[in-house]
Amino acid sequence: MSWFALSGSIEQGLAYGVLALGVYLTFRVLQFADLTVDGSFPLGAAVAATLIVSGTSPIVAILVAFFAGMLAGAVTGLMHTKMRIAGLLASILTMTALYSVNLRIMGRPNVPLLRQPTLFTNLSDWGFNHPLQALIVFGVLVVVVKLGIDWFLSTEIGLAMRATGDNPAMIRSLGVDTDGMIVLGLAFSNGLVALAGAMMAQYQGYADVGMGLGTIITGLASVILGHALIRPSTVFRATLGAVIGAVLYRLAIYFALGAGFAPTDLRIVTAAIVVLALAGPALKERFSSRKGPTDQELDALTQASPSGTVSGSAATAGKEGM
Amino acid sequence: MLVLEKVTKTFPVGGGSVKVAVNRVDLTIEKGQFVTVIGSNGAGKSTLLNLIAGRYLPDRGRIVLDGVDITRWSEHRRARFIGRVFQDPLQGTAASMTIEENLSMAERRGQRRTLARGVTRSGRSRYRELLAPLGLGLESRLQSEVGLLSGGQRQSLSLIMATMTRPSLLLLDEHTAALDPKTAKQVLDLTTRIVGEYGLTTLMVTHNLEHALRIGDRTIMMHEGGVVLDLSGPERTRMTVQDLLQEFTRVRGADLLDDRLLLT
Ligand SMILES: Nc1ncnc2c1ncn2[C@@H]1O[C@H](COP(=O)(O)OP(=O)(O)OP(=O)(O)O)[C@@H](O)[C@H]1O
Ligand SMILES: [Mg+2]
Repeated sequence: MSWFALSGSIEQGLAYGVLALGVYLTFRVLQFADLTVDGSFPLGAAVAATLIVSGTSPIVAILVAFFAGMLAGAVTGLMHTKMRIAGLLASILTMTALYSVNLRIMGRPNVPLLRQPTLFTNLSDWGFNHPLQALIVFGVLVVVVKLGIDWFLSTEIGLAMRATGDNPAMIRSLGVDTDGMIVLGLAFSNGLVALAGAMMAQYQGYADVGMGLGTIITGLASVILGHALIRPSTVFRATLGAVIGAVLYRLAIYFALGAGFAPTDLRIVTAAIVVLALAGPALKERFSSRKGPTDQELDALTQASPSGTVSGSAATAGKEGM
Repeated sequence: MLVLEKVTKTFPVGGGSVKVAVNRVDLTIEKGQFVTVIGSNGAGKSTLLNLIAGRYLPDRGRIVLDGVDITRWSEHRRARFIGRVFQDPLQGTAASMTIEENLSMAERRGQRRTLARGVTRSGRSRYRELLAPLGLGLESRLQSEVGLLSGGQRQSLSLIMATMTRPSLLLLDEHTAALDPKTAKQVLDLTTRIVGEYGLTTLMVTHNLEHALRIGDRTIMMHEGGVVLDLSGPERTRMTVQDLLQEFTRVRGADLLDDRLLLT
């Protein structure tokens, strides 16, 4: 455990922040549990790595990876909206299919990027060669994506997308094609996840067909963790929470490894964290020791408002009764 | 003007048989007319409104709004011309979004949505003007989440959202049924005020016969998917709730008779 490893965790956390923002879009905004990301993350990596190896500039490779991810998301969206396949199942189907697609793209299970130009070597060549280079690159990227999403979700289309997750019948009755919104949101989300995959491949120096396993859990854990710490009362806070959650999640793993957990145990730890966080409200209700106010408490409460709560609320009912 | 021609809708009910929810309804509603719709549970009132709004497509028949045949139009395409308020106050608004965001979405009803800012400064001042007359103090809470509002506040907001673009047709399906009597009256008063002010063509389903007769200028009664009574003008003015109840029993009585015939 060293500063080197710690900063590596933060770098990865920021990269996974982009992933978490993508998952936020589907899981929180559209209320759609999208497992496509387990396929679109390695898809982004595969596309970027393959293009780079064949001589394409890393920046172009990243952009193409983004569009490839969008396509994958759109496939899930179209299966769900036009073929009426349940969302979770549609996304599992795409994820499964993407495994073959990714192998086809790479032509083998692993594409190393050793001695290949990457975004990072490019930046070094252009004179930006700093020990914190990766940290800064990922930091800037995640901030730009976060602010971009904040902006998008405040536009007319963005509001319609949020309403599609919140109350589809209502926003349809206002003239919005909710099917279109779901496809768009899934495409956008998976584009971001593929972008994260493309960045990750260049950061770690290879693309691997197995690198997507558990992507959705990482994303969910980040979003849930972040929102447990920062109440997502506004879009700004919600996206901030997703990013912070991603970094904290990586740090938690770093410390878990330091504490002697085997890397192979991490997934069950993560799964347990997600289960606990999701079950939190239900567990709290069930095991809450509070059995309601006591007689004394009720007396104190009613004495506090001499007119009595009942007549008090009736008095305000005229003004705010609706 | 809304014209329905032989509009029919059936639902499969298992065992290969179907339920005829709306049965060859012919109905013409003039521009600016305010029609109240009554009928017992399962008479087909909601289904009729859903057919008009495009939630379901009819099995048969035609729906023409202001001269345009919209029979096969999708729900979101018709929404440009049709405002709706549902029975459940939770249905008409997006709970996790703010009052101003909800209003701005409603203001873009049926229009192309762009990447322009949803809530603008000029929009805010329009929303304040729209909300102030409600006397609910909503105009000073534009940035509150709608989920924090009471049922009546949400329903009032839904009504504003359904009418702010002055749609060609307003559909109200028991939109005060889930509210306490006092709040229901306030929302109903708001309804008649807005409909009157904008001259909206309106269909309002209600279970309150008093309201059905006193509000609006025409009353239709549905039974078993058909329109069995259509009152307007002096005939409607003379009608009392008592008379209406008798009409109810009359159509139900026919049922009983049918049942008896079937049994023998
Ligand atoms: N989606 C559906 N699937 C199957 N049957 C349906 C569906 N919607 C309505 N029905 C049936 O169609 C008939 C008419 O229902 P509808 O909801 O239109 O009645 P209503 O007049 O609105 O009644 P209420 O006063 O109880 O709201 C009922 O028998 C109902 O069970
Ligand atoms: Mg009904």
